[in-house]
Amino acid sequence: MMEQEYNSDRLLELVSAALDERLDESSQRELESLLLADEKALQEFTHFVQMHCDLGYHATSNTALQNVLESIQGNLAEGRGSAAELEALSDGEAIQLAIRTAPSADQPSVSLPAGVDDSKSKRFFRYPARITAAVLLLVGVVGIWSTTKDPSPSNPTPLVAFRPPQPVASICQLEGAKWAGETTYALGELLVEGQTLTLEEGLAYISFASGAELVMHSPSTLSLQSGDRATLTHGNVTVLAAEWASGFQVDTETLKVVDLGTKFWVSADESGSVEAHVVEGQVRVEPLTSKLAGRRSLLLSQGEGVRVEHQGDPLRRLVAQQVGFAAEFSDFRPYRPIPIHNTGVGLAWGDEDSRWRIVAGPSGGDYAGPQYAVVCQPDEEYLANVPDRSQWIAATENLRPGCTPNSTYTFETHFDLSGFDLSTVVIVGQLLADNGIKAVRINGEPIEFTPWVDNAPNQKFHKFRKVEIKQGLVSGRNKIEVDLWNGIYSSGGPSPNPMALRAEWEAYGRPIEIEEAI
Amino acid sequence: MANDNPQGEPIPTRESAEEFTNLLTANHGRIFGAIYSLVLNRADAEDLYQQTALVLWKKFDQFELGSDFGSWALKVARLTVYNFIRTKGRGRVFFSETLLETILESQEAQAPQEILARRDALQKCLQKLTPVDAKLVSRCYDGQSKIKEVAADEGRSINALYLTLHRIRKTLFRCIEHRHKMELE
Repeated sequence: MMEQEYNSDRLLELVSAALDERLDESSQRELESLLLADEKALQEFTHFVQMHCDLGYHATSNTALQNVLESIQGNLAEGRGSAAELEALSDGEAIQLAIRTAPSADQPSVSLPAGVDDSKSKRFFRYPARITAAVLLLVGVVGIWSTTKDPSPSNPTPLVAFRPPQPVASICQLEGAKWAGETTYALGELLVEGQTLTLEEGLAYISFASGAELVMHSPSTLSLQSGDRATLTHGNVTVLAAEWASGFQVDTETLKVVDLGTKFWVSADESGSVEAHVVEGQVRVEPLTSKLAGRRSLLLSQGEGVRVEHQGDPLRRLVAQQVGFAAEFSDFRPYRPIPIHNTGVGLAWGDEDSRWRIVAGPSGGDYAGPQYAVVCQPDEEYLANVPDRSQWIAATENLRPGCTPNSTYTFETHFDLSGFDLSTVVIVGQLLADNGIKAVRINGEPIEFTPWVDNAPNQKFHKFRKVEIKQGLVSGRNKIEVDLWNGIYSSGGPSPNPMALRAEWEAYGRPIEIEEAI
Repeated sequence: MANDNPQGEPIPTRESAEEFTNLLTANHGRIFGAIYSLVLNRADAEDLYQQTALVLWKKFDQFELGSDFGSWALKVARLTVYNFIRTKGRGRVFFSETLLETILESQEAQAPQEILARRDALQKCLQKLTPVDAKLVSRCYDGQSKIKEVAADEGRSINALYLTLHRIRKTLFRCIEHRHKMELE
């Protein structure tokens, strides 16, 4: 095999596309010639595919374990183990238990059950479940996928939150910007967490929800992690952060740069070489792969910079370049977060939430008229409370007996927009409700969204739905009302029954006065 | 060891099943990874893995305990893949035969310990992902989600999702390479 230099990034790009099954013919040929021409390329290919397989195994191991546990419930029912014993097992141990409880040679083995998932529907990965299936099939354990999920409410699997991605930034200004592929972004367009931007030409100004303004210089690839964090894969960015945005962070492959009230720029190339330069104020840099003698991070002040040549290399101090990528921010109007309180945040079980009231609904059960909502103990079908983020609120600390079914209960909260330019305000709520949301109003005016009711047998409440407030805002005090529908099974059920709400908000806007920003 | 039934297939006993399962479980990453790198198609790789596992089980009485199960399994996997190409046509695999052989040689040369070390490194590198990236990896690889669903849920285009996914994979890969290199040093 002939040894020659190859472009590792290009190779990984091709392999990644191949794994996603979107490699065209010419790219297939390119990949083949790369792999045939260089042994190191072949090695990288092998390792990359292996990582892809391992990722599938890692992410699905819990699912696979649950499948295994469910599949041997039948054996348990015959007295071959206990539920507690099973819950305590690792994936491998569960398979071993399945083997121990498999029929011995003198017992009839069990064939592949009808209904084993054989579909070819386009999913990223599902082989670990197949591996488990194959192993269990071979040793004669009762099949997996045809087993109906245990409908009892004692399913011990904790519910995982599902949240639609929140808007964390917006496009503020574009100068000759051309994006990768056919992507286009409009001025003012909201960008959501996890979104990756690849700028091929020009400049793009991005306003982050936390109050940091960032300029992407082409060519650059940047991913938005949250309102106060971005990952620079390669390219150059300049950041000017408002006073209240201190802590804004730019991650690169080798260096983490944390703003401490400043203007700075960061550049990264694909070989892992990174530079950070402080134009004003201070930043803290934390090497991710390099070593710093005796400490984890380094404080840089105005005029100072650092460079990491390659992964693992020591940090090299530089005199900061004040020009170059230090873009001008002629109209600096950073976003400022708007406090709208998530339900139950920072409170304990049983506390009244003074920011949220239940103002309307039929009397009966736990509800007797307007009152503060109370942080309640979540039902086992509810997503678990996260006190420092959001919690379920209801009429009392206990969900049962609950409230009148087939009724609407109105929850209300207020927030203040004094000092904000209303045309720039972004407010997005994520709501969970037992059993659904019929209407949301801002200052008495209904907002547009798709109402929902979750009321299936053994309904789980873990999937947040998004509600965006785009108009109807006023300067000063604003009121949000949420009409929650408390349902009941068509086949009947206890009356009264549980009724609860959980809300999380992302809200920000540009202040009218900007003098205090930096 | 398995006992033959009248149809000539081994009847699973607890002992032989346990031995086989131990070996298959210990080597499944290596076997599946090898098959996947040849066909680069999820569904085909899953089917081929399952076929390979069944052949391995049927022939398990021929396997000499104490020898390299993974190496034996890769030989069976090679035959299974070539049989697949013969019956399904070359259109299902886009690499040339020369490259398939080269990939297999590379897979066979990979030490099982290295695969395990890389897997350990992956676990550590996953912990360094941001929560947003970690969540996306979890969703994309959970075996339950279709790409269209993930893209729709994330409020972005499929192309944008692929871009992000590639960035995360590359970050993880570079992290694994770095850790592995440090360990070797």
